Amino acid sequence: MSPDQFEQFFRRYKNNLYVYLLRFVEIDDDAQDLLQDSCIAFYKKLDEIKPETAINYMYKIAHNTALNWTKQRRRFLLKPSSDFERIADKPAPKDHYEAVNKAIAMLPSKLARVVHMYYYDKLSYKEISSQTGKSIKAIDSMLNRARTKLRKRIIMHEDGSPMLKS
Amino acid sequence: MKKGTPNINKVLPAEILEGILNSLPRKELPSYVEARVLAAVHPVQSKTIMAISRPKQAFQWAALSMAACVFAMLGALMASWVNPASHPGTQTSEHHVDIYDPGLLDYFIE
Repeated sequence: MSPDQFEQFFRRYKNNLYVYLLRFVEIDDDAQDLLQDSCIAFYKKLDEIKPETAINYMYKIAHNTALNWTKQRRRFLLKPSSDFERIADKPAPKDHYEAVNKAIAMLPSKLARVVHMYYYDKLSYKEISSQTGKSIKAIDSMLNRARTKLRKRIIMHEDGSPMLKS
Repeated sequence: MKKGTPNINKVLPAEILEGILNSLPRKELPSYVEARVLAAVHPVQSKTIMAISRPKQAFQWAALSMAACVFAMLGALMASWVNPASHPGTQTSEHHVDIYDPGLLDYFIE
């Protein structure tokens, strides 16, 4: 991939990547920093990346960057996040999609990528297959496995809203 | 059961999960972040270009210094050729002597 192609690629997928990273973090600024780090890491390998598999590779880098960030943050955090929640007078209203987004972030990298490509990027099985190099049957199977895992991790509140199993 | 406690036995129905997944909210990256990311990537790009062009630059510097040496040598050669101080018997020095000819001064005084 050439530097010019990267710029086009980035402008096309910036929002998709941003949303992918937002699942791992609480604050928008952190997702923006992670996006920048991911892009720099991606750019360093630009010569080795083929345009037809670029988005899959970019999601892989973004996923690893986000996981490393989460690990580092856990190491330096003085108190567990539950303590901070107790300190707050009123807990912030939870997004209806938050539980699902967090559950997707907890999936293995390959499954999370496929779920994001199918449901968020609205790519077809064929397109995902060409991006990931896996067969259409394998993509279908991965999506089914991801759905099963998500349903195991999410429970339904009495009011019908989904929430993560603690 | 207490009000507000989740019903643990209730698994999220597949249709609801599918509905949520299909309507995941879209969010846009602010334009200033886009510019920031592209600017952060460019120094990496310029470093790569510098690494590639370093041998070319060395060659250019060598050629430039050689040209400077040739010009300096040519300059020195030309200067030594026309400088009257280094060649005392030239026309200019003879003319200089003619102006202060004592015979002329005698003519005016008389």
